[in-house]
Amino acid sequence: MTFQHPLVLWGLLGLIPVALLLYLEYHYATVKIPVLVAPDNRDRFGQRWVRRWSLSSVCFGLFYAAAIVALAGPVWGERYEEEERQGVDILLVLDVSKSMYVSDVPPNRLSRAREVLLGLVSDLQPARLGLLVLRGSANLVVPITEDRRTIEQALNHVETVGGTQPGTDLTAGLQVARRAFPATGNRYQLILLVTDGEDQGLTTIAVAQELGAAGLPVFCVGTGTAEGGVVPGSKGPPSRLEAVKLQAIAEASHGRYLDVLDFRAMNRLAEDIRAYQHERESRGYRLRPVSHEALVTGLALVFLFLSIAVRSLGRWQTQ
Amino acid sequence: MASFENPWLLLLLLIVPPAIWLRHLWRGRAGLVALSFALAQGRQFRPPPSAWRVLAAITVVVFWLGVSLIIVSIAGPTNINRERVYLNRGLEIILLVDVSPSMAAQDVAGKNRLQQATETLNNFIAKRGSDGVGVVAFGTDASLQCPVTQDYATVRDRLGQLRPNMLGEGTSIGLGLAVAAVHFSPDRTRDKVVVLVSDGDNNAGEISPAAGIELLKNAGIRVYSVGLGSDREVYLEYAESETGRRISGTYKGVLDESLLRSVASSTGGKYFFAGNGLGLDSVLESIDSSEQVQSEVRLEVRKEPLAALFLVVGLGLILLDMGIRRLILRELA
Repeated sequence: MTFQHPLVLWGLLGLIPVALLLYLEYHYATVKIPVLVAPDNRDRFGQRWVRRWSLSSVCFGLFYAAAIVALAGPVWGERYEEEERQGVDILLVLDVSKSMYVSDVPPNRLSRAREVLLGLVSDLQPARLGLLVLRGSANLVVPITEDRRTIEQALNHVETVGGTQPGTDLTAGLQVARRAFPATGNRYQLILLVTDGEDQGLTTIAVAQELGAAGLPVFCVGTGTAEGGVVPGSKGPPSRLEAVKLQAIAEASHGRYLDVLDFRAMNRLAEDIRAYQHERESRGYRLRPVSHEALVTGLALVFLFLSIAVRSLGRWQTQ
Repeated sequence: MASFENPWLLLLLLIVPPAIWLRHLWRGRAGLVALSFALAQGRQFRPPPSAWRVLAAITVVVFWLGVSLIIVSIAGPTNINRERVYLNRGLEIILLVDVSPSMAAQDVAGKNRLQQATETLNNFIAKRGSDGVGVVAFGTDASLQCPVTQDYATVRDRLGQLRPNMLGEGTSIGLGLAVAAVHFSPDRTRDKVVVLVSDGDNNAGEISPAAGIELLKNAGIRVYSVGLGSDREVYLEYAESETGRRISGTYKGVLDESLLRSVASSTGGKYFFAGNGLGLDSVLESIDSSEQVQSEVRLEVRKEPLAALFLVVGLGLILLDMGIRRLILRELA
C-alpha cells in the first residue's frame, strides 16, 4: 500500500489533542458523577460510565485515524485504462542553480547537462520538446514546440534565464512541469529532469507519485558525483549528487534514473525514450493505481457510529 | 458537471435520521438524566432558553452535517470535465506584431493600438484547438517571443508582455517576416500562416520586405496582413525601453497599406484594414473562415475527485462539535 499524499499522515498527530479532549471529559466525570449520583449507585454507575467512555473514546480515535488515512489517499492494486495516443511531448527540466556549477563532472555539471540535452534535441525527432529551468522557482523558457532551433538557442543561453532565488525546489518544478503540457494534445508526455538532486522541496516524491498515476513519468539524469565538490564562491559544505532521491523520484513516477557519467546509458537515452513511447503506443492501455479512499472512509464512518452507539445505548440509571 | 462514482452509497444517508433519534431524542438513551419537577401553577416546568441551549442545538446541526458530508464523500463526488482532444494537427500560425512606438497611439481613449490588438488576438487564440500558435514581435529589431505551440496559456502570457518601443523605434516589417519564416516547422504538409499586425511602413531593418516575402513564398507560408491606425492626430504615450522614461505627445502616422497589401497578395493571403483596432475582431474571424482545417476530435472525460474536500469539511465539523461539547458545554455523555 502506498499513499498519494503521504504528508497528510502527519495529521495523525491530531490524535494527541483529540485524546486530551476525551481525557478532559473523564476529568469532568470524576468531579460531576459524585455530585449527580446517589452514594449507593455511585461505584456501579462510575464503573459503567468509564467502560462506555473508554470504548467510545477508542472508537472515536479509530474514526479520526481512519479519516486521516483516507485523506492521505491509500492506494493498492492496479486497473487497466485505455490509452490511445500518438507521438510524445517531452519537457526538459534543467536545474541551473549554483550547485550545477560544481566541476566534479568536467567542465562542470551544467555544461555536461547542456551537452546531453543538445544531443537529445536532434536525436529525439519527431518529438515535441519544451524547456523549463529551475533556479529557485521554476521558469518555463520554451513551451512544448516543434521549433528545435528555439530549444537549442535557449539551452545555449540557459545561464541567463531563470528565477533569482537560490537553491532548487523540485516539488514546485515538477508541479509547474505538469501544467506545461498542452491540455488538448493527443500525445504521450514525459519529463526529463536533469539535476544534481539537491532539493529544497518537501513533497517531491509525493508529486512524483501523482505524476506517475497520471501517466507522466519522470526520467532523471543525475549530474554530479557522490564525492561532490565545493560550489564556486561558496564556503559551505561540498555539493553532492543526491542519486538516492533521484532514483526515488524516477521510481515513484514509473520513470528511469540514469547517471550522466554512465556514457553507455547516456548514448542510449534517446533510444530508451523512443522504446518507452513505442511500448505505450503498442500496448494501448496503461495500469492505473486504484485509490481506496472510499473504503477507508467507510471504515471511519463505522467507527464513528460505533462510538455514538456505545455512548447512547444503555441507561445511566439502574432502576 | 458534478456526479458520483457510486451514487447508491448515498442511501447511507438514511442511517442519519435514526442515528439522530438514538443520540438526541430517544428517552432511553444513556446520558439522559431524568429529573422530576412539580407542576408550577398547573403548567409543566420548562427551562428558559439560554445561550447554552442555542449552542448545544448548533453543535447538533454541526455534528450531523459533518456526518452527512462524510457519507457523501464515500459516494465519490466527482467533477466531470469533457475535454476535446485533437487527433490531427491543425494550422501553424505566427502572430507577427508591430511593437514600434507608434503602437502606443490611443485611437480609442485609454487603450493603445498594441493593447487593442493583444486583446483581440487573445480572443483569436481562445478559438484555437489543434492549431499551433507562435508570436514574433518587431520594431527596429525582430525577435521570437513564443515559438509555435499548443500551450495557449504561454502564448497569451508572452503576448501580454509586449510593450511599444521594446525593440527599438523603427518598423522593420522585412526582418519580422524573415524571423517568422525561420521559426515554422520544416513539415511541408502543414498549412502555415502569418498574421501580420502593423500600423506603419517599413523604415528599418537589414532585410527588405521583398526578401522577407521571398522567404515566406518559398516555404509556402501565407500572410494575412492587418493595418491599424487613423489619419488624424492621436494621443501617444510609452516608456523608453532603456531608461523607462515616459514619453507622451500627439502622433499622426502613415500606414503603408500598399506594402501590407503586397505582402499579403504575394504570399496568397489577404489584406484587411482594421482602423482603430475595434475592427480587428471581424478581420480575425475572416482569417479564421479562410483557413479552416477539418479537425478530428475525441471527447475525453476527465474526472476530478472531490471526496477529499467533503471528507475534510466533514471531519472538521465533527471535531468542532467535539471541541464545543468538551471545552464550552462540558458535557458528560
